[in-house]
Amino acid sequence: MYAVSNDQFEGPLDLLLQLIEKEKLEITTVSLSKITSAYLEQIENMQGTSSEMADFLVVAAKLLYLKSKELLPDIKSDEEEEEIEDLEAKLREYSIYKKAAANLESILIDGQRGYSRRAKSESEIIFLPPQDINHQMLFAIFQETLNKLPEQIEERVITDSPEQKITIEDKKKIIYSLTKKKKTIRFKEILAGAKNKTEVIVTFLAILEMIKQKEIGVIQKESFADILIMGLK
Amino acid sequence: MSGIETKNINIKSIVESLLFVAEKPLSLLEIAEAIGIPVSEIQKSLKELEADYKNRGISLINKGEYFALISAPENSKEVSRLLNEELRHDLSQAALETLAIITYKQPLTKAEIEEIRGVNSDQIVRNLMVRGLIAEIGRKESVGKPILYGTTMEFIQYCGLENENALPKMEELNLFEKNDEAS
Repeated sequence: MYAVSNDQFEGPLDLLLQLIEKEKLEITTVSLSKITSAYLEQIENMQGTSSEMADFLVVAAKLLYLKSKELLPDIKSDEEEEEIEDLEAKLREYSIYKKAAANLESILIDGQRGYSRRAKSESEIIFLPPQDINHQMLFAIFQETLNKLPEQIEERVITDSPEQKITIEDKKKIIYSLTKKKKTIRFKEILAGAKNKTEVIVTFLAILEMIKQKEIGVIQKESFADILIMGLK
Repeated sequence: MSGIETKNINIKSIVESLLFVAEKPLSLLEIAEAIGIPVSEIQKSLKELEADYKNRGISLINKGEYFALISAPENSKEVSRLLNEELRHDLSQAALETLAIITYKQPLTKAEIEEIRGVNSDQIVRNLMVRGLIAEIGRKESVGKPILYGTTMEFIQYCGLENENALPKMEELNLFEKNDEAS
């Protein structure tokens, strides 16, 4: 069985060329007609994507036209005739590039290669301290840097730690149970226990989702006023 | 020693220095601008340099208008060992075929490559680009302005050539075919 990407042949033209060369034929219309059945045999067992197969089938159709013309010489279509000539010309051209490829390969197999000088990469990182630097200055800079850091780092750690993560699903459950206990709850009430901004956002998203799913109803009298939440289910 | 002769020797020497320090291939124009003389006066020096480097460990190669100094291809075995690089080529038949088409027909579009090969060549063109053996070298002035592809300086180095003229001409390839059949 042949796969299209198999090294056996690279495409329909390659297959045609190999079949013609196998029979020691010249690239002519007559030769094309002679190898038709061999070609069809090959593509019958081929596995490839539909677009790959389409390329092979287009050529198959042209070959079949040639064959049918042998049986019924009277039938002639100018368009088909042109396509056959086109196929022959393309095959000739392709065979020359095959020679060029073989030539290129023999050059590469020789293994002669030129190397350029290794460019000193611009990404090379060099530390160039100012000439008048001393250890007190370095210490002062380090101290200054440290003073800027701690808060930011702590905040990162908290928001990123897994046990602090609260999902929208979790919040929905909490809000749902709250609406069971009390008829109306205030948004601020729910937020009172929030540990950070993320939790506030998650809570808000949970409320939006519950509104959409008609699990709760909300009332807000004016912009920035507290939101009243009621359970609907 | 006449004045003209001195000038010539200097130009060749300067061109050599420029090519030596350059981290990438230099164009005729770049060399001419650095020296401050017309392009036509550099070409002779380049030819002489090329001749000087025969039987030396350094070669002068060119791709069109661009010139570079590289290690002599005949020393590739030892150089590749020093650089710890693989010398064996690993191009598939499809890649070689595509590379051959581009070498002889450049500049050309992917559609034109596919027209000759009779199959889709997306993947192969992409792989050759990644390898640096071909590059986008412009846009065709036709519908959709498709990308034009051509071979690179790296391709010339990879083949150990001086330039692409060192490859047989299309007509000569045709002759190979006839000779094969005759023998």
